[in-house]
Amino acid sequence: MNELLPSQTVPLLSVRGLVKEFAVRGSALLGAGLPAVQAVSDVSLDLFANETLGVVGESGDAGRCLVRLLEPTAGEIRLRGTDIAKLSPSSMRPLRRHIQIVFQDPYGSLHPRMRAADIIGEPLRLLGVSAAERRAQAIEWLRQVRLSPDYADRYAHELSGGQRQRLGIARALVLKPDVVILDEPVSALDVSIQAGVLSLLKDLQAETGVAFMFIAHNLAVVRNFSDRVAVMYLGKIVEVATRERLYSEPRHPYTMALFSAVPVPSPQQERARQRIVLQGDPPNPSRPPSGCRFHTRCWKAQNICASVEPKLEGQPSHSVACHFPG
Amino acid sequence: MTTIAVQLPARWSRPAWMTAPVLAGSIMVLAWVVVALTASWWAPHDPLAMVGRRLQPPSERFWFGTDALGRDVFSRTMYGAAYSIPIAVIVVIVGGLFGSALGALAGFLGGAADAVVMRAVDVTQSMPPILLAMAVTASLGPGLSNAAIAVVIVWWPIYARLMRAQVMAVKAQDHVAAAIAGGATPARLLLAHILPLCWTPALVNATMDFGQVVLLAASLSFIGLGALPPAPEWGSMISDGAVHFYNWWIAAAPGAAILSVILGFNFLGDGLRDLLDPRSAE
Amino acid sequence: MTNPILEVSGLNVVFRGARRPIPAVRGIDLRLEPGEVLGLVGESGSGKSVSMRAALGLLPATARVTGSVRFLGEELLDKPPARLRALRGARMSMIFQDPMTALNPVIPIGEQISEAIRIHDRTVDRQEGLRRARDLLDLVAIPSPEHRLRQYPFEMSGGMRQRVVIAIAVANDPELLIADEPTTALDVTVQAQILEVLRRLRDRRRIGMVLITHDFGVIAGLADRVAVMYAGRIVETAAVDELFEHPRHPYTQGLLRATPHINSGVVQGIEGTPPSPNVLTAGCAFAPRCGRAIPACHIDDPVLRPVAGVLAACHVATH
Repeated sequence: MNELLPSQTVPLLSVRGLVKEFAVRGSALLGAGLPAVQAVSDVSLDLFANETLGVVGESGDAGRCLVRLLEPTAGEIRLRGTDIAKLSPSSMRPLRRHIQIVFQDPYGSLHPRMRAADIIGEPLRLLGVSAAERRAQAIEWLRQVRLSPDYADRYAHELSGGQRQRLGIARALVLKPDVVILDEPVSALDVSIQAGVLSLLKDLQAETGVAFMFIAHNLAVVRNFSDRVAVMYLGKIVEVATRERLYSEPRHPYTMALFSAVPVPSPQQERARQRIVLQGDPPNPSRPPSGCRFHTRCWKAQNICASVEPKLEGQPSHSVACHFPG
Repeated sequence: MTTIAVQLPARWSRPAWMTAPVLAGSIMVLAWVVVALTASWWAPHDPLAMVGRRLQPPSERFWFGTDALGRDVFSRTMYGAAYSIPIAVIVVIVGGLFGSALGALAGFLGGAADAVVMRAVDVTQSMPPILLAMAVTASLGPGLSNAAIAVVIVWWPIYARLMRAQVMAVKAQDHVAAAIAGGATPARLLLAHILPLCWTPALVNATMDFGQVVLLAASLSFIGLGALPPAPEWGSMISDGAVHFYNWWIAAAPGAAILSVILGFNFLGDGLRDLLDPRSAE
Repeated sequence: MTNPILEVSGLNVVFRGARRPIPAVRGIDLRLEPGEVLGLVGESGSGKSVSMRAALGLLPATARVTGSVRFLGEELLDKPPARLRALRGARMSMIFQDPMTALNPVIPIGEQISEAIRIHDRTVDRQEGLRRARDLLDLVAIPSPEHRLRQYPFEMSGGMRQRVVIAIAVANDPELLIADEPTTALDVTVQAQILEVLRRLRDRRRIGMVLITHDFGVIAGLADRVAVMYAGRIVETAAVDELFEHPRHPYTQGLLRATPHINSGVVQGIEGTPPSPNVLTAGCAFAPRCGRAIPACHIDDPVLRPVAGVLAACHVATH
């Protein structure tokens, strides 16, 4: 029997074989093909209602592909049954109401000359809502994100970082989407503020049933906030598990190295730690290692690791892409 | 014991935008605009009429003296403003709007549109401005309106570049991505989310440009391609005056007028730039 | 009795703002002993970065710095710029968050390290400079150092660049190293490597360090003593074990509760926001957000007082 799987069996978002390549500029040799950086390399995942999938170890390119802010190079993104990966911008537009995004930077993600209520109400234009109704809904959402309605006519620069992120969250939820991509939503905030924003997100999820994809670098924060966790390395998913399974028995060497590297706020534990020290630095993303991408830094690497790329294998509650999982 | 509230007169404090350059520039520019509009009411003499002896130095009767045809240089200089100032305004506004529109579209649409506009910009800017202006007026024929068209053609590329750069920079910011994700149409994106943040460099540039356009138009008239004689345009007046070198007032008066107009617009532009440039957040 | 490396008394930093002066640091006292790592913890607006920059004379002219900063007994605040330049990079160094802007992009790193040495010691020639640079690269755990000497910063990863920056900072064997958020911009595995390098420097070279950070995990792994800053003041100082086990100041307690722990994951934030430096009111700056404030807290700004072996600025903790 599958352990701790989300309640719904039909995913709200279903991604198969997602690839995103960036051409490396100015480095084409005559006759040779342009080398490309595979920021997202053959990623497949599902998102279910009312759950949060944490994604650790990478930047937000995958998330931006999912909301079609970037054009995927290949792969399938199924949202409510439709593959949105290759849609034209005009076909995509009406579907945008089902998938939204919250950005990392509270300062750059809000229009400097628009008032708070207008920022929140802006996406409602997609639904043809009247100006009066937009404002009314915006004020209601201000309350939902625990900001006073007095803020309706303030500008972004009059708000603190935490308040701006709340505004960004309101804007993302105003269309009542199925899925929201959270691209490091609290990384730029002070620690004392992060918890408040995260608990707000949890409450909003409980009320609306929205699915979150939570991209973050901080393993400790991800633990606090996710139901399932995917660990990515150089564009590939190397391990996916439920939160309990990942944090109690990580199986991929990279995941173990990550755990070993995260500083723990306890001096005794820090002194007593046996650290796994990874050799060298992350390899050049435009020339990823052959076979398993992690093998150049892995202490368990054998010959097969350099030649054959391991596939993600296991159960839905815990799968690993490794020839010698721990 | 009752207290009576006394309303003290509010102490006027200088608003932040009223810096010394802005004040000085505004006064100079405003003065010339007023002159341009009202010269015909109060100028002492008809600018085209022979009203005195030829080549008289400045005197009580003729403040700036008379020129080779006995016309009052002062009146001609004042009337000259009505040629130069409107030219400057029209050229900068038309050229600025046209160039900005093309540049904004180029920056926003990218791809082929960008390539076409930028090549047009490159071609236009590859020629020295005065030569290009000369070529245009030579083919259209002399005259002030043709000179204006020539200057517009010379002038629009700089605005295209400015606007394109700003649009491309703003387009890359997260709040534009947020608007796209929120379903904004391209028109809404450009008009509501991008352009409102792009116009300040163009505006500052435009204010400085008024002076430069006055200079270019006067230069065209100087070489005979702009205003036709006997029009009291400053450039042609300098051209007339150059021949009579020792009767210095004939060229000096319009020359000083051009100088003060450019100076006024430059002060204004400098002051505006200081105000509009991004300042540190409150 | 050994001289403390750094002794700060009553340090005040006020910036000349557009409308009124902005107090960034409001009277702090600090002490750093040789071979010790002092962690300076705080969130944005706490003044932790500004205070150390003030100590080294790195603030712009709009900043008014008063108080006393003694480095190995020598007062720094009244010294002419030339004297400070002679000290910086030689006896005292600072490293920052972004290694890319600290390095010259068009000069190979071997030369940059070598120059840092030769600026302060004219007797060292180019060969010797490069030789010492190679040894320094070894010290900061950069593999194949000979090869690296000829590389440019853009050829190196972020973690490696930060190690080069550290090598430059310690090239002349300084007594004091100030590290301002040295690992914040780095990948977590790289962060661990950098912290390991800093540990090595402390153990092998006995460099006194001030480690400025907002991350309690980093503090736990490297600091010997900790000073917690809030709104321009120090609210608590303690030995690192004591601080984590028995935090006395409500802000320290709140901050520790808000710090995510990988083994438990439960966090709790602090209500409200840190005060903006130009709207400070009377009394303790933390009082509006403090769950345990008593009337005295809103009137009287508490000073650091000893309580149970630590120093805390709190009426409730120390009465």
